[in-house]
Amino acid sequence: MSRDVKVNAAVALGARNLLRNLRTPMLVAASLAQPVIWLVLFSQIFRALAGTAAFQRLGYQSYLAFFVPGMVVLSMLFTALQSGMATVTDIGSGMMDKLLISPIRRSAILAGRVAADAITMLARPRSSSAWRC
Amino acid sequence: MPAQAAPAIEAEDLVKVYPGGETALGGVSFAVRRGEIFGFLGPNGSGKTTAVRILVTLLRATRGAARVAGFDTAREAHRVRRVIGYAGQSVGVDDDLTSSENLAVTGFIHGLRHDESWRRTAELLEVFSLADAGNIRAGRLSGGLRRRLDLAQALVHRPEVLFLDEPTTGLDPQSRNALWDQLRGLSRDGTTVFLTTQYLEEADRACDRVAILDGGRLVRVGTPASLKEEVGGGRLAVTLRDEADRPRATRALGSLPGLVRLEPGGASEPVVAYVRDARASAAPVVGLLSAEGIGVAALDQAQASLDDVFLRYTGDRPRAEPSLAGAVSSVFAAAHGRRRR
Repeated sequence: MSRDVKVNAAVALGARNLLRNLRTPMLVAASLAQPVIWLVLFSQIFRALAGTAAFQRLGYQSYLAFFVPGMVVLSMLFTALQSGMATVTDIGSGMMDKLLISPIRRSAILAGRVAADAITMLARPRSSSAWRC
Repeated sequence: MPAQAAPAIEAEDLVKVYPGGETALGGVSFAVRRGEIFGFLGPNGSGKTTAVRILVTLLRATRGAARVAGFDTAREAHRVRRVIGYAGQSVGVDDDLTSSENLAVTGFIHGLRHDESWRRTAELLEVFSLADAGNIRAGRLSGGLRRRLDLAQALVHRPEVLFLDEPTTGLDPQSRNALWDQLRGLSRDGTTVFLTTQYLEEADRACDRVAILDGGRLVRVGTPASLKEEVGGGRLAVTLRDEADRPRATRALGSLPGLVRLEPGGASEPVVAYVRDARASAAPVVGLLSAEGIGVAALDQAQASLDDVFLRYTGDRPRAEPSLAGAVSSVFAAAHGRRRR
C-alpha cells in the first residue's frame, strides 16, 4: 500500500530513538529489571520499618506504598541519564552534526528524544506494577 | 533568489577565533564555481575542518562572510541547510539502525515523503554497492561499508552542494576509486563538491581546482596543473658521488636553463632542481656538472606532483595535532553554534 505522506521529523527521530533503545538488549533488560530488583531488595530489607511507630505516624499502610513513588522518580532519573548518554554518543559519532545541518527545527531533535524516553519511562513502572500484582 | 551564475560557495575574509584565543582561520577568501570539484588541502590543524564547519552552518565565523548557493551561512542558515549535503570526518551513522533505516530516516528529516525516501534508499543502496547490507545494522558493517553508508546519507536529498571532510579516509583503494567516480558523476550532473583530503594524488586526479591552507591562511588556489607549473613542471634529483661537491654543484645548477627552484638538500640527500621540463633539462644538468668535474651517482627525473606543491607552500615539518581543548571547544561550538558570533 502506498504511503506517500510527509513524515514529521520529530516522529521520525522519536521512532529512531525508540528503535535504538529496543535494539540494545542490555538496556532493555536493565530498564525493566532494575525497578523490580529495587522493589524486591528494599521492600525485603526495610519491611520491618513499616511496623515502627515513627513510620506509621507518616500515614503509610505499608513500606511498599512509601517506597514506590521514590522508585518511580529514580527510574525516571535513570532514563534521563541514559538519554543524556545517548545524546553524548550522537555528538561523538557525528550524528548530531548531521541533525544540526538538516533543515529540521532544533525542537524536533528534542521532541524526538523526549517522545522516545517518555515511552521508555512508561514501560518501567509497568514492569514493577506487574511484580506487585 | 540567488542568481544561477553566482558561485556555489563564496568565502570573504573568514576569521575564526575559538574562545580560548586559538585562531583557526586568519582571513580566508575563495570562491567555488557551480559543478566544480574543489579540494581543500592543508597540514593537520591548518583550519580545513573549521572552514568546512562554518560553510555547513555548524560554526559561526568570528568575522567575515560565507555564502553557499547564494545564501549567507550566518543569516540564512535554514536555507543553506536545504541545499547542502555533508559527511564529516566521523562516520555519522546510527549503529543500531540498519543501512536502509539510516538512509530512510535521513530522507525523512530532509523533508522527503515516506515513499520517496524509501525509493531513494533503495537507489542509493544500489549505487553504493550496499544492497546486500540493506538489512544489516550499521554497527555490524566493516569500516569501509560504514563510510560508504555515511556518504550515501549525504546524498539522500540530492544536494546542490556537497561537503566532504576527508571522505576517503578508511576506504580501500577500490572503494576510493569508486567514490571518486561517483563524485565526478555528481559534478557532471551539476553538483558542486567541496572536499578536504590528505590523499594529494587523488586530489590531483579528481579535483578541478585545489586550495592550500596553512596556519589558517590560504596560501595557494589553482588547478593542480597550474600549481605544479608554479613549482616547476618537472623535478630532477641529482645524487652526488662526493658529498663535498654539494656547494659547487648547487652553484653550477643555479645557471640551469628552465630552472624554477633549486633545493640543495642535506647530507646524503639529492640536490633537487624543479624545472619547466624535466626531460629537456636532464642533459644540461649532466653537462654543467661534468664541466665542473663533479661526479653524478644518479639522476632521477619525474614530473612534479601535488606533493611537491604542498611541501613547497606548507614546509616539510610535521605539524602538531590540534589540542584536546581545541577539540572539546569545537564540539561545544557545534552544539551551541547558534549562540556564537
